[in-house]
Amino acid sequence: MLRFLISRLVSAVPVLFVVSLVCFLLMWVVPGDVASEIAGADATPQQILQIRANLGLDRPLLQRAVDWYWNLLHGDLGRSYLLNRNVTDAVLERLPVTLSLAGIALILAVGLGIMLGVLAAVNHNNPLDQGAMTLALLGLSMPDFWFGLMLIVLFAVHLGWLPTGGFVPLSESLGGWARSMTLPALTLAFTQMGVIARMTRSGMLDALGQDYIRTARAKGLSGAQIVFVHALRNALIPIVTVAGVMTGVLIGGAVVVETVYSLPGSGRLIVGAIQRRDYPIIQGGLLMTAGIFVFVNIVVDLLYGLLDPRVRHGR
Amino acid sequence: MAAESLPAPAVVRLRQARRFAGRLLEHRSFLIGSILFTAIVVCASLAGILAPDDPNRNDYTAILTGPGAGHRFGTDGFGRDIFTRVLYGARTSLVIGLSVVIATGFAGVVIGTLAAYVSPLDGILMRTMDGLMAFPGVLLAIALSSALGPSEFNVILALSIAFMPRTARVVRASVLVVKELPFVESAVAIGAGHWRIITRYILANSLSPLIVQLTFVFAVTVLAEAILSYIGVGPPPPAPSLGNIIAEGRNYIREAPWIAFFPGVVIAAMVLGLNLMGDGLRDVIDPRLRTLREAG
Repeated sequence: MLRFLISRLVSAVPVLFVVSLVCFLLMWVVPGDVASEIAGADATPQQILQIRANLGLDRPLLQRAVDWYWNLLHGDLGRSYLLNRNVTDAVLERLPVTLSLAGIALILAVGLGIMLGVLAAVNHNNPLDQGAMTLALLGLSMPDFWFGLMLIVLFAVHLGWLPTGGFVPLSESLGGWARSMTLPALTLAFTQMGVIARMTRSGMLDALGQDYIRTARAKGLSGAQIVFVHALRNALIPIVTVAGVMTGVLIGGAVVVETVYSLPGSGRLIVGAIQRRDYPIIQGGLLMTAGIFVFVNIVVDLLYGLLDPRVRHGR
Repeated sequence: MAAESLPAPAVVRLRQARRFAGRLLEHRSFLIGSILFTAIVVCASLAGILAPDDPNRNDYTAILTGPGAGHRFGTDGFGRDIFTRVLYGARTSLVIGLSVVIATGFAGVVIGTLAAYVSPLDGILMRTMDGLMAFPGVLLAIALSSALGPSEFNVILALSIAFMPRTARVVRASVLVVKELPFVESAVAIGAGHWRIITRYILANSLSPLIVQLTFVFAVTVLAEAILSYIGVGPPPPAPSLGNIIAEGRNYIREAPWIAFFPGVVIAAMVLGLNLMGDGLRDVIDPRLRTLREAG
């Protein structure tokens, strides 16, 4: 298991290198003069020069790359000139909101998706199956931010049950926090639930056709025991991998959903930075998001190795 | 004599194509999906006839009019007709979607084939793809599009870079399988060159997963383009892109929810159609590809 862990960590190194290189080159692809664009139309030439020097844009690309990696290894992602503070701090401070949103959405998506998938598989080719799969596909096909807006119209504007947006920290009030997170988490979860539901269904159909299910039936186990203990456990293994991939999708989706619901997460920070051309924040936010995703995937691979010994030994 | 009664290759191919089309049309979700998608394509192409108005024409006598006889989908804060704008927006989505499909398809085939066929390149190409795949696709596209500057071309470029790695992987995987098959060996034996082997033997036989993958790329692109537009890094306003219309509708979500409602329905219908078609294609071409969609 240790060897498996080490090999996974080693294979993450080139990935992280490419990730950081892409983030570095992001500023390089900006057409025209970044500094004067940041400074705005009514900046003095001195201000532009100052910004250029601050960003290191007056130095050759290679030297900037060396600086970028040197600072990166020290956990320094540069300074945001709009917030006038350290990028690392600014992103880290807002990360908990994004991660808790993505986390709740993941739990909801996996939970609801598995329920829907099992329901569909057990009622194979029934109207219930078709209904569940239509719902799953509908979730996959809707733009998440639009679905969020429609939930706002229904639950906040018409029914007035939940706030249209804004955020209450967990430390202030549990109820307020739950109310402010309900719609964002549902929005995010609904679009991803379909993926899990479809996988669960096909995994369950596969599992239910196996010999050991017939054996379980023959020895007189109840239907529920067969479905949940014998079939679902085996159908769950691939879902772990998908849930890992989904973490990235959910973090990416959180960026948009945070904007819809005005949640003060790192996604809204990045989107705000995009609108005001605060490139260090964009670079830093992108880098940290990808870093988290790489880390989550290592964890998922380890979990997978624990769940399925063939993975651990098979390589 | 026996050889004469055998049908010519062209006839065989035609018959196979017909059988394939028949099986596709028998597949219910493919049929529903293609009807849905075709209907949207037709409406978007006929935008000039169905809605002869200019999508950016302001009508200050009809600001925020609800859906009804005069304006089927209502009007926005400038009195612009939402139905007209949605039709042109759908056209923008389709053009961007198709362009991204072509670009990712091309890049995916080149990179995937090179990685699978030229083993010294495999490591570096695939590690690069892994690195790109470590970003949530939409987030990478948002960052790239914002760095490149808002324009339709840059949106296409950003989305293609974001969605190309997975396509390259799909191509690589199927080329790796196909290049070990006996008919490739016979091609080598009869002295076919690399180019001929790759195009006539390998690629021709590894296209199915690519086609299925590209249907899903189209669907994801339509969704991602809407997100980019919504955030403000898509085709610049006042261009009627579906995401732009929803972003504008957000400001009127209380008094005029129809502005945001209709473009979203069109996006969902378009993506649903593509997803259903992709499912159908996958089932008919090769049911073993089932994992493809889930990873996409």
